[in-house]
Amino acid sequence: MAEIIADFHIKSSEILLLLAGVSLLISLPYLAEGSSTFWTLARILYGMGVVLFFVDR
Amino acid sequence: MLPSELTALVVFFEQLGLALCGAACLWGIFFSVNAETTKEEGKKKIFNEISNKLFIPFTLGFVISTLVWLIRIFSRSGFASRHTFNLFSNLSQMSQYVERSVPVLWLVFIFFSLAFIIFSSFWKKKFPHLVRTFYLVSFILVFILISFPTGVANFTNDHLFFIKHGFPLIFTIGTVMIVDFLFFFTRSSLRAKRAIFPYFTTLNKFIWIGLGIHFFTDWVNAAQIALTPVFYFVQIVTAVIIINGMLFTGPLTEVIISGVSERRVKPLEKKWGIISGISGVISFSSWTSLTLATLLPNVPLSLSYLLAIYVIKLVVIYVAFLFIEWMTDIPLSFVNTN
Repeated sequence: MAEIIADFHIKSSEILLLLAGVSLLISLPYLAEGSSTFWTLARILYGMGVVLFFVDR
Repeated sequence: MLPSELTALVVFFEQLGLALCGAACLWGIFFSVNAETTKEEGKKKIFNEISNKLFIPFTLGFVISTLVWLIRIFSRSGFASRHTFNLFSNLSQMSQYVERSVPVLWLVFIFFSLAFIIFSSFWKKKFPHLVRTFYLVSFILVFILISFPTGVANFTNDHLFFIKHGFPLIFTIGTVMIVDFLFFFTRSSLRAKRAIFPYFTTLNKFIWIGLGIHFFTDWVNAAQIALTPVFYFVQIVTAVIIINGMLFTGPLTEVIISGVSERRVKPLEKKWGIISGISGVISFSSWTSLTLATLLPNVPLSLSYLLAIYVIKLVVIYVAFLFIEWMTDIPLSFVNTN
């Protein structure tokens, strides 16, 4: 497993996309309580990640 | 009249078929243009071959969507998604739209595609440049059919919502299936892999754009969203697609591309084949689940049930994937030494 991770070269765009996915998951219990901060954050991170993905690759 | 759940399933297969047709046309044009612009004779031949071979997924998508459309028409169930209910006050009004506007386009699409499919060998031989024209005309027809499942009469702002939820399927689930097809098609030729794999990044960019349209459309319409189990399920699956997509389109694609480059002397290890297989299965299962879930917003199942079905589906598709590999004797590692 460590070997596989070591072979991966993650760029900044992918870190942002990963954070967008995680943020979307975190947002779900908060959405039920009426807070959409993480849900919005997921969109912002996704947008930034995709823009950087186009620049990176 | 079909029950609404069954209708949703019928429409799901129609959209799936159209998305596959649209994506095959889009990437058929792409590789055809690349064949014309590249100066390397070897690559030119491969790109032309790929462009022609994309006729296979096109035909598959055409057959699925046409059969399903016929079922939809004969059952007089024209609605395509939850949003259709907002557009039409009653079912008879909906049927009128279907009967008046959509069949004309569908019939044009069916006759045009059938004429090309039946005489494809003749067209390809005599007029090879017509393949691109065929893809272009078909793409425009598919784009309209997938964006306006209930007709284009009395265009309103609500129709924009249809457009946003229709054509992105060509970029998302359609392109995901084309990536799978390209993996399958190039499995036995290292030369083809070297020519095609670097373009996976371009295909991935379209998938990200398509997902972005879905993702941001939900955000814009946040005020209208009901917090149902299906909504939470869609969000979880979207997160899975983003995280899996981030791994697949980024580092994994890089490993795959470098694994087939001319500079590399030994093939990639088997583990990368297994990882790419799992990632591909997650991608396909998640996209189909997401598309179907948006058509069934009020399905009476709890989130736990929906997630359990999703996991079972993942396992079943992975077993099917292994079975197909075993049946067709495709090596798990997509890189071989020939």
